[in-house]
Amino acid sequence: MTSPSSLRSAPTGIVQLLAWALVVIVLCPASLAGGPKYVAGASYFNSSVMGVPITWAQGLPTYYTDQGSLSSIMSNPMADAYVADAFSRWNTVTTAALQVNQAGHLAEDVNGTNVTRDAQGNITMPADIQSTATAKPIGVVYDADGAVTDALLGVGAGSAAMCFSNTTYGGPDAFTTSGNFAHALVVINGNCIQNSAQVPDFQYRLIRTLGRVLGLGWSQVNDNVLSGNPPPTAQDYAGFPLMHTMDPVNCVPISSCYPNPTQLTMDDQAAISRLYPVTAQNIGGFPGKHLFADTTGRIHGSVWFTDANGNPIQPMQGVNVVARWVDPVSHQVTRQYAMASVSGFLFSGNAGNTVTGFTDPGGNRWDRFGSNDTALEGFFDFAGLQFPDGSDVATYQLTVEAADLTWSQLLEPYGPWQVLPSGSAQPVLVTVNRGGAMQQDLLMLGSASQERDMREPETYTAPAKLPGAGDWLGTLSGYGDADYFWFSGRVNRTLSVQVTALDETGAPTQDKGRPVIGMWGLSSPPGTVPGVATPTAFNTTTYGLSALQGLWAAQLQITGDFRLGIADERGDGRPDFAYHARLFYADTITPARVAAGGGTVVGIKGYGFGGGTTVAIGGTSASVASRTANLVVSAAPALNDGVQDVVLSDSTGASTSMIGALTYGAGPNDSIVLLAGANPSVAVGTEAPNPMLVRVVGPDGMTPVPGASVYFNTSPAAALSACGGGPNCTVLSDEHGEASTRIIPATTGLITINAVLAPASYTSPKYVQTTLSAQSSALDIALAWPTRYGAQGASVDTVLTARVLSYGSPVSGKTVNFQVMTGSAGLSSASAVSDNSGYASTTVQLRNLVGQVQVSACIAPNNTPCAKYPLNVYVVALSSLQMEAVSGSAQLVAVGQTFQPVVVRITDSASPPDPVLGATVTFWSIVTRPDNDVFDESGGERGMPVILASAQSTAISDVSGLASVTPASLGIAGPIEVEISATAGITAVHNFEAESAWMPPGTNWPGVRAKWPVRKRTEHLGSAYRDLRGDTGR
Amino acid sequence: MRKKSILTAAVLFTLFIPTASAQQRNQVTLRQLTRPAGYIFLGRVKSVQYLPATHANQVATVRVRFQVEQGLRGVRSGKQFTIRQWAGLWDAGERYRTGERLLLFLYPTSKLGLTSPVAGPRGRFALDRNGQVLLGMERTALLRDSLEQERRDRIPLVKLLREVRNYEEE
Repeated sequence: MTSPSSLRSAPTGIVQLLAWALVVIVLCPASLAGGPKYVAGASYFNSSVMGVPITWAQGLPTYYTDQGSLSSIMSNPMADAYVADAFSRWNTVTTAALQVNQAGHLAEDVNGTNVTRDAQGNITMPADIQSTATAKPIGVVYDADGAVTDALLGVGAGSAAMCFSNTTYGGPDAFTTSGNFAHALVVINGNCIQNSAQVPDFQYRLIRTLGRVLGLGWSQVNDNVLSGNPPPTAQDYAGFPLMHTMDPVNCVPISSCYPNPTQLTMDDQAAISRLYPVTAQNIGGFPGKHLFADTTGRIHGSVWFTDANGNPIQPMQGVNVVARWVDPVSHQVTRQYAMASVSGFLFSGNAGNTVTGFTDPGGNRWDRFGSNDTALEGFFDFAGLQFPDGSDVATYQLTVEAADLTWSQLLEPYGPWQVLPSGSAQPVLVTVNRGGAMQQDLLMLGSASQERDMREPETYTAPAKLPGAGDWLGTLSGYGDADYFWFSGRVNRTLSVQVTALDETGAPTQDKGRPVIGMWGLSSPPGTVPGVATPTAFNTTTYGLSALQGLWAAQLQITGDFRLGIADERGDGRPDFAYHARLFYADTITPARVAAGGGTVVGIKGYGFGGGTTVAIGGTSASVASRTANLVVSAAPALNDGVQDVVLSDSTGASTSMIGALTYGAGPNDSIVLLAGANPSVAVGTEAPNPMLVRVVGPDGMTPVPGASVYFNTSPAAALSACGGGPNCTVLSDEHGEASTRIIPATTGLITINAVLAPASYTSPKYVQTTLSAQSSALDIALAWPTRYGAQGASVDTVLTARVLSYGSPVSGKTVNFQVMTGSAGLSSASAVSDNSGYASTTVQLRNLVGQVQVSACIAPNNTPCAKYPLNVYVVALSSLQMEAVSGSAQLVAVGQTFQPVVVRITDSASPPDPVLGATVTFWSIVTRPDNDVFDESGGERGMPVILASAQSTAISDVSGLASVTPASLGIAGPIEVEISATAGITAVHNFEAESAWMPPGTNWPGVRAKWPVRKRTEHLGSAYRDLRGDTGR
Repeated sequence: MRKKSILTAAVLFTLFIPTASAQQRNQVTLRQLTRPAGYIFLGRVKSVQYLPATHANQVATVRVRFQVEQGLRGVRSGKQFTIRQWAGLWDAGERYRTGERLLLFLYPTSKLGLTSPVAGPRGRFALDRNGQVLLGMERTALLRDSLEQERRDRIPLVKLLREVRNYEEE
């Protein structure tokens, strides 16, 4: 950890050491080391200079200073002198072919009055400090009162309080295609030089700024001077380069941290010499200087990833390689004579990628800086090694280290996105002669060694199929590697893609690969801008996670195939760029329509689901019964009719939406049709002979819509069987889209009965209506449900109820005579006395029904009046029997809960169909272990199941045609699946499936869930009708 | 000759160096980031647009649009906020990337309509995996006079914002 005191004061005695070092530096020829700030790349610059550091041509740039004073204490001439002095620190390096001279002054005093904005909002400055002013290659502005700084950086930036950051600033702003700087601008803030005490800091910052102007990169040597770990020694300070990346904010004045802050170290001198080496060709222009190559030594090589056998497999960029002189007397490794070279310093640190593009916001290609020659990817160069003891032979120890993420984040070429090294290399001793060169590669043992993914090729033009679970591991290995996958998707879906960068241990990291994610249509040709992409790596608040989610969630615009691409943001690729990817995508929901009011079990298929996946439908949380990577089974929550979005999400921020994928009950384009409802005039208080029957159908006008809300209402009020005798209510259409009610008028006159489709969901709901005329007299009698249908050969008892009224009021004590008029049937009683509600009943005993049966009902003693519509039971041939599933399909319950009954309705083949009484329904049940596909109408994809138990039972359909059985475990413990096959007559068959499952801990499973609600069987009015359920088979 | 004498005078001038403590008021602290800031907010970069110069005297700028998550000064939470920055800073490496989430202390807009982070990169904070503001050892001293946490390299966003608000009320 940093110790402030260690940063403020140098150890006693360091001054002497520095003095000695200064002597050595002066006497010994300087050399070349460190890294350049800019290296010509694959674009913009001539190809002949690719990989060459960018410098001022011939090392002879000129500069022009402001005409004004720098501050109240620093006149223009004095300021010029300080600038000249700062340049001279670099000019005087004896192996650097560099001579920067002042060629004159700018054409003006640059100040707040000529850095302005015009009425059109254009910002202007004097032309001779613009980047285009190449005739004055380096412009130096004396911002005497901070007004220029205020104008350029913001109000207050030029104040004295901001001197730590804004004393001097600027740098190169134009380049020639031949690989040279064309222009640079430096601004010096006069507010930071208001007294003599501030001058040393001003000098220090100016020399560093000019170092950048000359093309120097940052350097990392003896970073413990900054970090305090280990505590710095005098040698550390002596070897600490002027061109280190940054200073602690408490270094005011700078001498409080460094004893001799403006002193160039061996690393600084080597760095500037490397950019501007004195050679045999140019030495004539630099009298008194020394040939660079001849007077220094050089060690160079590459850093390599290695395979399991220690063989090199790929160059490793971004490793800070440090060379330290070994004292031949003490055999100690010194820290004063040290220099650094970052591996791959000539190679591109950021070339862009196919996802976020290859150009910066200014339209400049990222790869204009840094070579694309992979031979340079791990290259380091210690040209310029000195011989501190004056001999012609020196031994240097080479070590490797990571860029310090705190103090050297901006170190080139990876800065600001450093990559931690992979593996380690043992220190190596290399002996080099003056004027000589040695090659020494460094093998990083134990490094990541994944050269290719198993799935390769995963290229743009040959993408791999998306791994089945939607969750996979990969590596961006090999420079420029990007992984592409394809999958099929649907329109109106959103999805998330998450990619977590991993280090060698599999832990999330932001110091290895920088994954960016893009998506294209599979047919998009190479070079197409992705339809959606992460704007940058790690665009989430989760460490190491890049994601197409939230603001950058992908929405599919078509149904088709898509390409998913993962690349490193820098366009890099290395064996240690591992990642964990997940596509979180909900593709289908089954069934696509559920009953209004919810409860239906739905299965959602897709990719990348996990234990934490949650489901919300229409914004309402839904219970989840089970989750696998590709399937979530859930229960639709209670919602009104309409189209709803289904959203799956989890705590990682991943989310996928199926927009408008699930319809509750009636959709906006569904309709309601009247199937039956016409009736003759009836007496008040008696049931109309025919029910009102409606069907909800889809947009095609034919497809039945089950589970839709149908609101029955009457005007004036009448009793409706569907409403338990009330005048209005909402019921759900059954599995055939039907809803019905019987009607008892309460008043005379014309009654209107409406069936309205989902009025709670739609402002102008669709509806149908019928009317019923009612009258009354002194004595009326009518039969309930006078027209019935019986299965051929049926032997069943059915209750027949008559009602006696006078002007609509029940009449008790009247004897009603029943008589079989046609066909063969028995009666439990030939007469019955009306009760307080006017009801009188008998049981019609049908036996081996073969022909129509008619039974009359008349009031004794004179058998007048008689019911206008006698009971007629018509025979339905077994070959005409049809079966409708009413309820109980696709049930899912928690283990231990009881299933709902499975209910079928037996009908004839008429249109609309009539319920058939007395049909024998056989239920075959088998019990197996569940396959979690209860929602799947196709029956799922399971192979032959193992039958654990089986049973058979029969039931006789009642007057409503209903027959039922309750699924049972048949003694099998634990989760089960009960498959039931119901048959009736010759061809009527229907299959049901019910499952039980262990629910995830904490699941609030809403009891028994089934596909469709059980339709009420009490379609009959009045207490006397309740015993219609007592129909029994014989 | 004249140049040499001026330089000699300058060197002598630098010998009169006051004590360190007298200058430490120039250190960058959280207070010093807060006070001069015209805009303080947590936001995410929505877009970056380079606006090149179109004629000789004109200055290139970079327009950066933010989605403000929490506005503390000068901007409102939930709104978008656009700044223009001198392109010279962009050339020097002070860049924004679309998607970046940052806590920014920006100078008030200058007469040119430009701004930049207070104290350069020190007025610009990234957040870590837990939503903590990354200080780095280099900036721990920002907190030394307020939070007494100079040994830590990160701080919860909430805590830092609270401190900023305290300074606002001073």
